[in-house]
Order: sequence, then structure tokens, then C-alpha cells
Amino acid sequence: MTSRTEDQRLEAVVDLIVQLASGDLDARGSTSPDRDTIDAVITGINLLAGELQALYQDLESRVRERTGQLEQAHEDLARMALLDPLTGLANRTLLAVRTSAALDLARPARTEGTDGTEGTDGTDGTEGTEGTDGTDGPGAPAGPAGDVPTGDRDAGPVRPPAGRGPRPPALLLVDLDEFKTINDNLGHGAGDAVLQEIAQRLSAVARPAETVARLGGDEFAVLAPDADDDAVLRLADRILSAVGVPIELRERTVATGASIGVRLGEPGLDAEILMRDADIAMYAAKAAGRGTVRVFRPEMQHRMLRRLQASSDLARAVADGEFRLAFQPVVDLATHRVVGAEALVRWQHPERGLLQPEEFIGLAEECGRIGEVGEWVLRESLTQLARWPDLLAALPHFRLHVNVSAVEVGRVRFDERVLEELAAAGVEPSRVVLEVAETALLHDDGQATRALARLRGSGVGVGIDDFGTGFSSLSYLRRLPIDTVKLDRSLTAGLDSDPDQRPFLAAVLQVIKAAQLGVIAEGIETRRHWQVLRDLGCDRGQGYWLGRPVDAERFRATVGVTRSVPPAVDGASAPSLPTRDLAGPLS
Amino acid sequence: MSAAESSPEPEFTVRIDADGSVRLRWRRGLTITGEAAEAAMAEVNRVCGETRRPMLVDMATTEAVERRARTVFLRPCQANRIALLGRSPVDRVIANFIVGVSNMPCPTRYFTSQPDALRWLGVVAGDQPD
Repeated sequence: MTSRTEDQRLEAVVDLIVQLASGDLDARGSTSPDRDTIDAVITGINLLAGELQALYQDLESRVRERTGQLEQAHEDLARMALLDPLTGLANRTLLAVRTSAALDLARPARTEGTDGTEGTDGTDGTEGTEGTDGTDGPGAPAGPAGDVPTGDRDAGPVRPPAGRGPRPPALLLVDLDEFKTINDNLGHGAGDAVLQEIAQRLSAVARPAETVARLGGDEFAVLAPDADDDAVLRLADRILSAVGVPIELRERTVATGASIGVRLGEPGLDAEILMRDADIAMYAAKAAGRGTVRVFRPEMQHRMLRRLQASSDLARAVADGEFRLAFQPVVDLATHRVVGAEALVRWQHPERGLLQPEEFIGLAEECGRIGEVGEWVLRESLTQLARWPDLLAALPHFRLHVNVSAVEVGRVRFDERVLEELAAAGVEPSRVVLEVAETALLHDDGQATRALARLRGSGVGVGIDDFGTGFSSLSYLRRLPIDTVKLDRSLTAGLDSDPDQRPFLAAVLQVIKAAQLGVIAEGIETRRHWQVLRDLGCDRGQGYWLGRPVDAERFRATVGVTRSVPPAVDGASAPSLPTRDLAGPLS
Repeated sequence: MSAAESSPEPEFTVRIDADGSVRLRWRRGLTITGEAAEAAMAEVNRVCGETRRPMLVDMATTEAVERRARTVFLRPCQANRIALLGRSPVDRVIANFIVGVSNMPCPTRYFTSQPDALRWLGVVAGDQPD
């Protein structure tokens, strides 16, 4: 081998090293058949290059793997941050992102007349009905999908017809009816299954451009971008229908329903207002009854504010002692003797004056304050009763009727608390009758009935109030732990106008007697009421003709002395009741 | 004697000598691939059976050893001591890549002298080379 050849070979080695150094790790040198030292160097370089290449590949592979893991983790985190883990729907955050995006898209295009809350013109009505996935106009704006990785339904692009921009979005809040009952009775597993099924149904009825979200609990939302009012209302109907189909769980079928609050799109709204208004509409739907859709109107907000104010006022009323009790006599219709009284709550409002129960009890129930009011009424009634030892001594069968709400009766340890209050006031249980509205027990899962049965066992009387306003059958009454039925005033009032009312009342009284229950007729306001009811065998009664509600002092002053209550003057017809022992009207 | 295949010249031959050692001889000019290494080691294990034996590997004129083949040589086999026999500087580089880069499963050393290799393997009497 010549020196020149060796130089050439060494030059080739240098070239190989340069090539490898430039990053071409595939480069390899050729050896000669001589297998001399230069070949050994080339072989070594080849082997080292192979080793280096393998190390690089291994490193790159690990980096790829780790990068993939990090990307997956990032995506998972993004999903967790934006999706509801139970249903896979968008969560409140993602809904807000999409709402803002839809509002932004609608903003620049909404410079002239809108279809807002007052409906749409004919053209939009036609196009907009299916408009969210309508025609692909040239240059149609991209959808408000929110540029985030999500696992929820694809919020497809909003494609309004050519010639106009997207309309403002509408928001529908969907709240399941009676979901708590499902959770409480069938367990959270069943509750979760129901929520998942509802999520699927909502996704099925919504269009690709619409975002279905779960806001938490049993509250869902559907955001309809580029929303046409009629299409939104039809969407609400589709949701009601879909949610109303009973759900087949593993061992039973569950009936479901929903209340829907709708905030229709309107220029100038921001996401927060849209959500607030939809929420207000949803509460209005809830208040209107199951399976109801309510579209937001400004007066709803005023009503909500009034309710909030009422809630705050009620809390203050309890704390500041603004409630008062009035007592209306319960009279034996045959003897006219007072056999009891009903404690009736009044609210001495600092600005509005004396409020009757119908002006605040409903509000108290709505805003969750009824429990506090009820506790005050029970405690104050018992305290008052304990202040009438002379009356109780004179009237050994006198019983005080106290109204309790469904919320109170359904509470844990209700019976124990009543007995504790009785003991604290030093009142015999037999001196008290708790009156419960019949509707309170219609939806009872057993807890309220058991509590009332225990109270009955302790001697406390239990009565059904306002009987005749609900839907309970007379046979149902026999299964309740009650001893008294109080007929609603509407049954008495019917005697004035309906000639068939007398035989109807006779039948009702006969059945109540057959069930061995005592009966009290409410709303006796005329002599004729009294006569008819007495003749039909009704035991007891109360009403303005027999005695108006009065404060404790006046009640004792009158009843405590006379033992019986005089009938009030009945308009033109003077009472012909026996006047012996009567000391004048109570009010 | 056995061969990996029946072609005119197999990639390797494996035999047990009268001295009890295993002889693995690679074909001249061969690039030892991973598959070839797998086949050779399987053959070594097969002919050794239950007995672990010293092994002389004739790798003179081997063109190259693929990386994957080197990983095969890392696995324990029925050889309890391996002498790699070569001649040229190229053989030395290749052999030392096998021995030096990897942690061999049994004592392994490169020789250019067959008698030295056999002495180191302990199959021929005499002083062992350093």
C-alpha cells in the first residue's frame, strides 16, 4: 500500500469524522481487506457511531414518550378543569368560556334591528329555526367553541345564513324535579346513573353548535348560540320531552322531569347577566310547578329581589321578636262551649304593619325560613298555654291547636323536639294538637308519619289541616296517626252558593265519623253555617261568627271568664244562639 | 458439529472438541447480526446441554458486530469462560467493543494466539497468559 493511498484513506477517515460531527450518525466508513490499523480505526469509529446513534435514538424515544405523557397529563388536567367528571359534559367554566365567545361573535354583527326577546321576523324565523347548523355562508364566522381540549360534545361552528352575523346566544337552565327524592330513596349510585342518563338525553336533543353543560347537582344548562327565539323554545320542549321519559335503572324505573328557565338572546347582555337571568327564570319555573318552562322577564327579577328582601326581613323578624300570636276559639257546635283555640301567627312588620300568615308563610317556605318561624310559633304557643293555668283548670278538655309545616314535620328528631318544648313549658301533651296540612303527608317517605305517630303515643293530638284542599282520599286518613280532621273553609263557604254542598258535607262528615276521627269545621261565618254544620253532626268549629282571632290577653279575659264564646253579630241576621254565659264578641 | 443452515458456508459452526471446550467459528468476513448471534448462542446451549463449558470463539476477519448482536452476547449461556480469538487490529477493536462496552455474563478475553487462548480457558496445560 503506497503512502498516497494511506493518505487518501486517512483523508476518508477525517471526512467520516466530519460527517458524524455534523450530525449524520448514519455515516459509516469502509474498511479494506487488509484489516490494518487504519481499518481498525474506521471499525472503531463505525462502532462508536453506532453506539452514539443508538443512544440518541433511545434518548429521543424517551423524550417522545415523556413528552406524550406530559401532553396527556396536560390534556387530562384541561379536561378536568373544563368537564364534569360524572357526565363528561362541559362544566360551568367551559360554559362561561363558550358563552363569552358566542357573545363576542354576536357583538359586531348586531348593529341594527334584532330579534331579541320580542320574537323574530319571518325570514329569521325560517332560517333560524334550524339556523345553528344551517347553510355555510361564505366567510361564515368560526364557532364559539373555546380553544380548549374537551371531551364534551363538539360545539360545532356557528354558521348563520349569508348576509348576517350570528345572533346573541340564549341560555337554558334545566333543573331536575324531585331529584333529591331519587338520591335520598335510591342512593347516590342511582342518582348518578340518572344524571348520566339525563346528560346523554340532553346531548342527543341539542344541536352540534349548542353546548350542554352540567353546572352541579341536578342542574344542567344548554347554550344556544346564534339563537332564534322559536328554535330555543322548541329546544326547551324537546328537553322536557326527553327528560320526561322514565329512566330504567337496574332494578326499577324512575320517573323524571325538569323545570327550565330560559334567557333568550338579547344584544348587550354579558355572560353573567345571561346566567343570572336564566337562573331567575328557572326558579320561576320551579315555583310554577313541575315540568314547566319559563322565559325570563324583568318582573321576575323584581320578584326575586322581593323574595330576597323577605328572607332577610324574616330572619330579622325572628331575631327581633316581630311575630305575634293570635288565638281563635274552637267551639263545640252543640253546646257553644270553647273547647280549644288555634294559635295563629302574625307579623308585626315595622314598615308594612300587621301581616297575616298568607302574606308571609309562603315566602318563608320559599326562602327556607319556615323552620325558624315554626319553631317560634310552637315555643311561644306552649309558653302562652302555660300562662293560662286558670283557664286550663276551668276547661279540662281545652286543647291548643298549633300549625306545623311539612318542612318541620319532616325534620330529624321533630317529635323529640316537640316533647322537649312541652316539657320545658310544663304543658301536658294532651293539651296540644299539632295541625299538619294534608299535602305535607302526601309526599312523606315515612319519617313524618312515624314522628307524628310517636307524638300521638305520647298524648299529643295530631290533626289534618285544611282537609279538602288536597287530593287525599278519606280511606287514606285512616292510615295516618291523626285524631282530628279540620275541614277547609272552602267546604263551609260552599254552603252559601252550592245547593249540593250540604249532602256532600254530610257524606264527608259521615265518613270522618266512621273513621272515628274528630272533626272541626273552619270558616263558620254565618248563623246558617253553624246551623247546618251542627245539624250534620259536626263536632266543633271555628270562624268569625264564633270568634275572631284575638291576642292572648283578650282571649283569656273573655274565654277564661265565660268558658264559652259568644257568636258574633252576623250582619243583618242577629244571632239566635243562647246568650246565657256569653260576654260579648271577642273581636 | 452443527451448522445454523445448510448453505454452502454457514454463518457459524459450533462443535465440542476432544478437550471438552466448545468451539464457535464465525464465517470469514461476516457481519454478525442479532439473528445470527441468537442462532449461534442457541446452538451453543444446545450442544452443551446441561454442562457448562469453556468456549473459544474464532472471530478473525469478522466484518462487524451489530449492536443487537452484542446484547445477545450479554445473556448468560452454557459457556463459563469465553476466549475471543482474532488476528488483526480490526478484530481487536471489534472484540474489545464486545467485551469492553458490555458487562459479559462470564469471564471473557481477547487473544491473538490460539494456544494462549486455550491455556486461559484451562483446556491446555501451561501457564495462563496475563
